[in-house]
Amino acid sequence: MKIRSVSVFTFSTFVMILLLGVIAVAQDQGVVAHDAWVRMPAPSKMDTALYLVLENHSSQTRAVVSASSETAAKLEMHEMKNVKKDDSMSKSGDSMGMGGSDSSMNKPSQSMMTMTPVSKIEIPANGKVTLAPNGLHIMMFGLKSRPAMGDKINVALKLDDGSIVPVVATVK
Amino acid sequence: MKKWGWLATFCLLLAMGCRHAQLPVLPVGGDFALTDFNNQTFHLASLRGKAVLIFFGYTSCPDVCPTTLSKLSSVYKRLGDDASRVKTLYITVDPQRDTPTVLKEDLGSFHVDALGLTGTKAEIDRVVGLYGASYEIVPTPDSEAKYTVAHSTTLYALDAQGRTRILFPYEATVEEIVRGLRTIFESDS
Repeated sequence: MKIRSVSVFTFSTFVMILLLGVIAVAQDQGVVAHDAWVRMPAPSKMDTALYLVLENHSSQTRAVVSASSETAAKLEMHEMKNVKKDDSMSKSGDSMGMGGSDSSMNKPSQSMMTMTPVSKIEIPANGKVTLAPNGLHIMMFGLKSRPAMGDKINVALKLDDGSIVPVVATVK
Repeated sequence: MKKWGWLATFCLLLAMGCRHAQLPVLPVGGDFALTDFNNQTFHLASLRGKAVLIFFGYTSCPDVCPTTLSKLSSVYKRLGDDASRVKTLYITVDPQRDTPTVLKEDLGSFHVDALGLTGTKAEIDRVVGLYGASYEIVPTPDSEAKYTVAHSTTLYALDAQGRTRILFPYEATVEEIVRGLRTIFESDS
């Protein structure tokens, strides 16, 4: 009976340690990146945009504060915004359609799209943020060599807590 | 039977007329002259007989412009044999960087029958004004880019007589653009 008790105790301890280990690993996973891709730069350009999904598996809001890559001179975070011609930063949908009797559809929209640098990209706790065309993206300036379709490009994202999120992006 | 035949013909003609009447001539646009990416003077009037798509952008635009050009690549593919009936004009709002050589090189990477156009600031501003478009040079001294260009994203569709018939918003899908162009083709026939 004593041996059986010791065995049960040992087994329970082992399971407990295993569970704690799994929890620790889950918390350590923090922010992960996936579905990363880089737009093939225009023939005359050595600059392009990086898009990806960032998932935050921790209970703390995190933020990307900088990005770097051995393949480019400088990376910057940007956002596409819709602005009115008079520089007011109001959201304005492009209201034009395929012509009709409605007079509001007979004039071009006065809203413009512009690219604006941002100092950080926040990832909500237990949430995600998607960098995609027409929204947030990471500009890669000064590519050191012209990539080919399908190439893999390594990028490192630095978070506000000092940790690094590795990214492998496919050129498309 | 003869009476019903005439009535059917009348209704068919009326329906055809109604469909054409649904596509008004819009109060924007007009002829202009700019410099094309072959460094030749280009006149919009030279494209009479073809539908025309006009887009204002710049080649350093990393997002909106390549997205639109990619969309137009799909439009041309979807048009099939009718692709030769439409010409795309890409008018730069960044003539300082978008030389004819740059325009030709960058537009060549898209499967679009496009002609890049540039000119002096005054020439481009005139066309921007004619079409009710807008753009603004935005200095970004802290960025590697030095400046970016905010610009309107409307895609203008002209008929074979050079009249503006449809204003496609940036969100217009490939299907919507193809459908709109086919409507323009029918209004020209």
